[in-house]
Amino acid sequence: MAANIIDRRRINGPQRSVEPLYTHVDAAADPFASGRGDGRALDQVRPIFVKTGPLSAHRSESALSSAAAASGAAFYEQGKIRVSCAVYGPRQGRRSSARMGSFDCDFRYAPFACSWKRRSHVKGADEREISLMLEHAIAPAIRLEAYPKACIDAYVTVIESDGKAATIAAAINCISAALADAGIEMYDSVAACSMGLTGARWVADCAQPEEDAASCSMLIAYMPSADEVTYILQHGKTTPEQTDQAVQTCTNMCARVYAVICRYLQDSLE
Amino acid sequence: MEVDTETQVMDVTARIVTPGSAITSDPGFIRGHGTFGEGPTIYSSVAGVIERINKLVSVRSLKQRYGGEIGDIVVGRITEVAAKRWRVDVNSRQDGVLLLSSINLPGGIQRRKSESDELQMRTFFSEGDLVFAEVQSYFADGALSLHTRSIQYGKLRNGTFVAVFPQLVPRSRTHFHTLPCGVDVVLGVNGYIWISKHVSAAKVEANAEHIYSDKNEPISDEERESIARVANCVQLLNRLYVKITETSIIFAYEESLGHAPKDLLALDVAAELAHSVTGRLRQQS
Repeated sequence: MAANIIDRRRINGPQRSVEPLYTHVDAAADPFASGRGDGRALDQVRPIFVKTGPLSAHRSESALSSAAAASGAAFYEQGKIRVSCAVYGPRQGRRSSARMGSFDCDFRYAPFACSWKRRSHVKGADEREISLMLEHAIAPAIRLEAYPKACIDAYVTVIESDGKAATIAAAINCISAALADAGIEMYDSVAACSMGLTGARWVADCAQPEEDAASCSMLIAYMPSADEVTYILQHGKTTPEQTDQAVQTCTNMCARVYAVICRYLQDSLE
Repeated sequence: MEVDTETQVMDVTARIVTPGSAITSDPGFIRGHGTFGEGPTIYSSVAGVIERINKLVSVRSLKQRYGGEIGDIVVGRITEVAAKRWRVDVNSRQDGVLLLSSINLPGGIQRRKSESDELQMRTFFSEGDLVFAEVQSYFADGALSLHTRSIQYGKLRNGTFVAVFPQLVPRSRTHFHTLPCGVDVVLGVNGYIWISKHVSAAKVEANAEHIYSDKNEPISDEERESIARVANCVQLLNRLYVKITETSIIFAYEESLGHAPKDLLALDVAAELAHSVTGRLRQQS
């Protein structure tokens, strides 16, 4: 028999299980004893810049019809991270269910987005994975039942990345702003924030070198007015107390990021 | 976020909110578009301005898709030919539907549509064609059902298409205008606008056999230039976020006469025109 036929009824895991090897963390060592490289406090997010509408109909000079342009768009900066997002829809979907609308997300790194290597223009497995994560983080906030048969598409491009978890958080914030710009009905805007565990300390919004030094990273997407977490992602090992602390700090920071985005949206509508 | 107290409730107008902000917790209010309720509290679901009509609270966002109402005049593009129906892109949340039974046959013949009509649906409308139609009813899922059962509705030709923000086209008694410059304009409430060479109603009726023709009539250079000028004027009004009506198009047209049609959307010319057009509109109102 061919060996590549898989028996789907059994658990096809390995026979033996092994506890993962964690890199040894020296809790006593504290690289942040003299503060962070860019002078931020440990629970401080990098400065944020948001702008909605750079790709949408009335701004683009070349678009002949607004049908060709995005319904909503946003550009988001957080320190060195630069993300842009275009939202299309709600429009008739190809494979949409009759009762609920669908939300699809396409996350791409620009070929030059990462400073340490040039990315291929072919979509990588990590980009697919992040696309799904973004869908899961954002979809609970959208009132999909208000859009039967319709689909809403978000296209996210990372122009520059600096810390993987922080880039995903920036993408979530950028999509929220773009959805609000598109006038799509939502229960709440989603704000996201990431943290890294270095030694025994949680460090907010890690840049790439800080993330490389961290033993664990945590990403939380949160709806502040509804007080609901839509997505939580942890890489690495922590104690339950540390996780608890991280969730607390992260949601507080999300609320602050949310305030920045809301403030911008209100000002832009004046 | 913050919840209004009873005293602030009356001040819900002219406030800007973002998705998820609480508008009021007074159970006396009814929630309208752009809001959702949880318990007695009404929250905003879009970023926009709060509007209040008596007890009804709604939030209007700057950009919104077209939500159809029965009797609306729309311009749409055929996206698919399906069984006994066409699917039409009407700039809405989902495609509209034009049933084979709700179109006119060439020559105005009145009869039931037969199987042979069903087989030659593409001779009436095929993919990519533009139609001028009226909203007849809704389907259960909110999709619009259109009809073209009038001599003035039907296939569009002899002109050009412009898409604008749907909220800029107000509902009015008539949506088909013949401008003094000899150009016909169809203002679809869904934000799709068709600008074409003027063809008199008598001629349209005489040509009832050819209402589904794909061939343009001969269009002279002057007519082409007027059409292009009107199209760019509509684009300009859209960019200015000004209501697009017969009057505003005529104003823009008259103000633009000093420039070549192709220059109208250049930034410096557009800025100059914007100033004079908005000035005239303000004077008029």
